Amino acid sequence: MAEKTDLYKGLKLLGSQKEQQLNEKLKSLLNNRSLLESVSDNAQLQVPRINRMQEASERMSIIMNYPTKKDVASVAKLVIQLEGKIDRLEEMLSSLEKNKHVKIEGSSSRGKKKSRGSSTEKEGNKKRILDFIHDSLLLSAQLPEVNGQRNTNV
Amino acid sequence: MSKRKTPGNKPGMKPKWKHFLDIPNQPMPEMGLTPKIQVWKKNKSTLWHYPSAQKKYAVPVFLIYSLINTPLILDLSPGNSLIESFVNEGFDVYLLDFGSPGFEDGEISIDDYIVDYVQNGVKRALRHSGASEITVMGFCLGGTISAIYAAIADEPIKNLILSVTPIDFSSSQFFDQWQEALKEGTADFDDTIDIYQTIPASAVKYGIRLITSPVYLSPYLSLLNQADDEKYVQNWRRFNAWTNGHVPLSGAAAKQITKDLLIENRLVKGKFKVRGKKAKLSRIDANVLVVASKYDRLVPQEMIYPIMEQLTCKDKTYKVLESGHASKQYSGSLPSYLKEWLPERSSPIQ
Repeated sequence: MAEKTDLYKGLKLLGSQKEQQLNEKLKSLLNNRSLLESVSDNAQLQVPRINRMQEASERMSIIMNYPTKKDVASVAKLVIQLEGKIDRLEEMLSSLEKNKHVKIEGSSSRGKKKSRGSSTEKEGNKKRILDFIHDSLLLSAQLPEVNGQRNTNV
Repeated sequence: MSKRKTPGNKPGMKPKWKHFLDIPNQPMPEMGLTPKIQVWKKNKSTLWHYPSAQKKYAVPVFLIYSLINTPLILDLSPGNSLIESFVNEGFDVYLLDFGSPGFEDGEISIDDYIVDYVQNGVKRALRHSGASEITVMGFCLGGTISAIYAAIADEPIKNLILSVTPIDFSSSQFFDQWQEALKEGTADFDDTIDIYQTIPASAVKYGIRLITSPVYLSPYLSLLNQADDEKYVQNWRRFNAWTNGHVPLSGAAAKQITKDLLIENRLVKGKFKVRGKKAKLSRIDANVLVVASKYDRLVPQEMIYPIMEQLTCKDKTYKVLESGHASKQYSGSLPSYLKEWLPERSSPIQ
């Protein structure tokens, strides 16, 4: 049994040593400037071809009535925009709530006095929320643009 | 259930290689079991809250993991989980999981990750916990993001912990000829990235493998050597699942990492900007703990230590661990380097 254990241990040690040697060799072989440059050149050659194929696919999608990856991305971006707006609303509500608590604490300590400043602050908050909702509605009416062109397939 | 013998039992009759061959037929052990609650979600990212068993510290911990891997490594299994250790120790933990970006996320840059995700996430964690200060802990590239964020943050960051975090990218010795070609612009992949919008997970995986260990055999030999040890096999499988579980990297982030960090090394030069705001490391005023690993092949100490020369804060500590990049074991309580440093800086609750 001990012999067998030693066999596995030996195999592990030998394997690790050989792995390290092979890795060093491979890395030194691959660490070649011209190799990366030729990979980059080849990739650059492919770019216009892939772009043409993607454009063809976009054109086909109008006739075939299927959504492309860009259409799906546009919808996803809309959702992300909405998420951002909800986030901002949540933050506003939270700060309003916080202010309310502070005010309640303040008013209870000062009695029932109501300052003109606090009502101005309330009006200001109200206006900010209304402006925000107005801006959000305006923004929601606009679809995101893809590569400068409005996407009509969404 | 597995038929393998546990280490404490009588030695099994089945040879190790039979156990080894049987492993793929066994069900995958569960991961990420520490109880958590979703606090906030933005796009693919999720902010998780891990409530402490018994809260002992007023300052919660906010964890930021790398962009190219899942944070599962922080909660591998009960008894081997950093998050569980924090929770057991009495810390409230928040984890920002960036998720897996898709084609539609190709324009998310490092700036966006820092402002829209990290900064907003920290604000959420502060609000959710009711705490007045927070500890930010970043790992690998997540540490770089944490350091940049801490340099521009308006939020009250009390402690900053950077674990195996690359800061000085000029010290990277890997594939120096490739780096030269990228720096001089004779090799350029920006247009290719624009087509795909993200660097696919498989490309990230093999890229990292290329830097560290293109021939990847020794972990399997280690598994063969201990194939009859149920606990070892389960831990190995969990770790292996994490090792292979890379996520895509958004194209804009990849381009920014290459240009701003790798080519121009802007962070160390104090020229890194986040939406026009300079992120100078000397602006960090939190208590800082920088952790490096002695056997780390991916982020060697030369890439980490220069932050110590940049920091001007009074309380800064540099610690070198006897481990590799990710091969850390946790035993249910905090590792000593954290236990000695963090609790006294986290406002213990009397």
